Amino acid sequence: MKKLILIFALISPFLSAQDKVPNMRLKMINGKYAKLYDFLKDGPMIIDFWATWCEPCKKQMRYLDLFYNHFKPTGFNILTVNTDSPKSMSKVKPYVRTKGFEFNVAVDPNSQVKKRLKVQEMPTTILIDQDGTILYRHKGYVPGDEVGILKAITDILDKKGIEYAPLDLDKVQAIKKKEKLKIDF
Amino acid sequence: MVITFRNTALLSIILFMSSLVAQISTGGDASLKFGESKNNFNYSEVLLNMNVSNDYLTTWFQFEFSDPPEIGLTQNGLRKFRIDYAADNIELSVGDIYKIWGRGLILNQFDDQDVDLDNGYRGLSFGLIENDYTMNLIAGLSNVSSITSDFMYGLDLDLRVPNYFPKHSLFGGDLEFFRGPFSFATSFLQSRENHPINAGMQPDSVNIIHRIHGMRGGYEGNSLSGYVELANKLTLLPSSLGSDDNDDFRPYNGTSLFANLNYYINTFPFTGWSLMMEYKNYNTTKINPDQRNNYVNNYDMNLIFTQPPTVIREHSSVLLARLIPQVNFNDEVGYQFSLVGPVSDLGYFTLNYQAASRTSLWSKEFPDSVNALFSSKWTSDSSVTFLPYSDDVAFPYNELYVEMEGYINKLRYQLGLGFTNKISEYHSLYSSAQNNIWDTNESFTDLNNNGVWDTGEPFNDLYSIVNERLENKYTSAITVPTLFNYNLGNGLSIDLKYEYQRLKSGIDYNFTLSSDEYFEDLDGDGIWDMAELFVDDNDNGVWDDSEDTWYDWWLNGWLTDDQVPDYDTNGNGVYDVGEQFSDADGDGEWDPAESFTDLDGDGVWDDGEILDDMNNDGAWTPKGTYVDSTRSNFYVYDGDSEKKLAREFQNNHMLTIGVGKSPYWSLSLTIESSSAYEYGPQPLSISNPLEDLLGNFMDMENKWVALDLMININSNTRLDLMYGTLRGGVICSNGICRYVEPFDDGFKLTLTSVF
Repeated sequence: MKKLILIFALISPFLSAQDKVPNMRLKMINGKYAKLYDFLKDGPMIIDFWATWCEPCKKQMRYLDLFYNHFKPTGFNILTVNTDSPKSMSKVKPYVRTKGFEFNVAVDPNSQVKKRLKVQEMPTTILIDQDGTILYRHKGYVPGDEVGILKAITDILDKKGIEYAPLDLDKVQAIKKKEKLKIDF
Repeated sequence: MVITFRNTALLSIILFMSSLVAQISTGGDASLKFGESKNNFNYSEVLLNMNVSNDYLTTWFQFEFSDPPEIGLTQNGLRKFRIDYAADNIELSVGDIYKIWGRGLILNQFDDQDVDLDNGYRGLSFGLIENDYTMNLIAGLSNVSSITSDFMYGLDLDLRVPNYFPKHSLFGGDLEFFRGPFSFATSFLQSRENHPINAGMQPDSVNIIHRIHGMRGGYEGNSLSGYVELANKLTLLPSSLGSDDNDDFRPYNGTSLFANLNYYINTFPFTGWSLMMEYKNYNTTKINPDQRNNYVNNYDMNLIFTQPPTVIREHSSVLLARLIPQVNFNDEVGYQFSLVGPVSDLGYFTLNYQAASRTSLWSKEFPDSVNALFSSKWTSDSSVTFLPYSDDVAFPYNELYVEMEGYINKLRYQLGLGFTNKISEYHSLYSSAQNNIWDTNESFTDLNNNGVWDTGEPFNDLYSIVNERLENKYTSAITVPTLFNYNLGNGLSIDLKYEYQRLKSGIDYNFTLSSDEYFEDLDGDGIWDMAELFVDDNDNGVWDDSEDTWYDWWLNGWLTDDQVPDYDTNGNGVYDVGEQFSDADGDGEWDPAESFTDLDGDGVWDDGEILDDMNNDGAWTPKGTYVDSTRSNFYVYDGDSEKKLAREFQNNHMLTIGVGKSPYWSLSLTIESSSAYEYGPQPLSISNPLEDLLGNFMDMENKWVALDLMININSNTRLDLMYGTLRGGVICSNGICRYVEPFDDGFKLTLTSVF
């Protein structure tokens, strides 16, 4: 057993990640069903896994909403997959509505989508190209990780030659701070 | 480690399929866990998931190599597998399947390794997905293991290893329709259960059939959304098992209800606020307080694949999470509401209140006053309740939690305050006694036919003195969780998490006598006289009068003056040691009278009056409540002595200081401290170098210290390393709670990788 653990520990950093995501069926927050590739029709996307009880997830989501609203005109999409089990599922929609998040939200109450996409920790953020190829994967969130996610998004948009307005995170936060809170349903 | 031929063959099949099928995608993930501690909490566990998929087919194989795992059974080889086929509107799965219908009142399956709960099934699933409806059919076997002290091997219970293995053969279907904002569904599930039972010295099992029918409906509107789910369970038992007459075996057919209503406020000044309300009424079986968690002997309540919502807030605060009660999915009523909204640009405010209890009140039957059969029977109120009870026998629970969270420039803050109250155990015991006195309601034999009872006439002495003993285990707490995170820029950030809890926990006792304890009033003074205290010189357990000597005989006139010289050997006229005496206790020596305390001043030693001491306190007790007290669970040591001093409260503190560099690493130090010990076995505290270091700055008594390091080796691989000591306690996940043993002076390593 210890040999196996040692071997695994040594080779794991050199293993390459899965290249494509399966076109899975998803249950959306409004109760309807959708396919994963439905969200790739207009461009690349980010899939993010979160839960209402996950503090790092919540810290990251405000940036995801910012990215979604900023890059939406380019066809870029963001789908967040909520993994709250039935015990806390009722809180998901109020949380999203109260925060005013506009990105797409799917629910995965028994973690089957999470397992299919090999998500081991939360939050996990996966950037997917339009053909389903996984370009970037990030586990967990510590402040500052949003810079890496933003860079991954702009890299793929640059690679595809899609034009977009630059996004300066520090500047956006300063502007948002001065704004009055505005939530439009 | 030897990889078996079977596993090698499976791996080969996966690779072979990969090479055959065009446009395939392969991948997998793995996690490695290793832990070693001084209190033998050791484990090594590798979990390997492998996937091969193309546009229509996906295969999944999960291997586990553990010896032992962190919790669960040791396993080496294939643990799970599944093949999924998905076309446009058809889904077909073969293998290990996890399904959820609605909110899980009928079916909610998952593999939660934190509490070692895997309630999936191995079999088939067929799904048909159209725009306005979906259909799902399932069939297969579900073997769910668990840990219970109620099974016959409970005495050798290892809290990390399951000892109970029921088997369920499942068959069912679910049909869901969509019409605009509305949805409606109906479901049916049957389980044929092979249920292990305690049967003498050998394990045995019985075959039971459970049938659950259910329906659910939902509405998704702009400012309102709602959901209702109803399930009815019927349990069929072989007639050989008996009937309701056996209190330990009481099949019950009942109903579960869950409802959720969310209201999103769009009106100024509450724009952006939302109100969430949840209600549960799970009434599928009624079990008395002594048996509530005994699913071994209560055959109808072990439907582990039904995992409905707990209707209890899940906390990220460690100290608050420890107070979450075990939810009884068979017998619980309760509600929760949560009001959340923005407060100007300060952040978001949350108010959450939740309450729950069992669905019925129970009381113990009084003992049989004629035959004195000590009854253990409980009786319950069969009426339906819609709101939780506050009576202790129904295990009431409530929690009020408020929180404010938001940002101040680069500082993220979260301030919470929680008030928790719960009763987690309730015991009611009765005993009775006769009073040896004819009471007006007692029948008698009227020997002289005068119509009244006369002294000496035989009578039926009822067991009319009843001793009631009520105990409940309570917990109440005030908890203040706080969290601060500051972004220093350039990927650097610092975290400060502090939690405080003032915990009160113990047992409330209430003992009451229905009438006075009986005693035999020898001296007719109307009060019970206890035996007068004496010094038992010869340790024979009784008071000894002085043994008679020749001198006593002479005083009593049994010796004449002429006979005295024959006994008074030295002629001094008084008794001397060695002269003749009556050796009453046969010890060969003359014993003087043992001294006594003359309580009643009559000059002689009095034996005690016979007492039926029902409460064993050594004294006569009149009727009424004689104990109404509380015993705290907490104590401290009196200085350096081993004497324990009770403490009403336990003050707990948890401090975590962390620093992180995105996206590479983070390091955190957690110190937990407690102001008092809890009664019960104390694990041997082992000092480690980390504690020795911190001991230079603080008193390390009753503290747990752990250092965590996380390194993102690359975007696919992450390493977590913990060194130190962790406090044991209850963790709850998906409504299932288990006790986690302390982790004393050791390290844990977790490596996860996606490939």
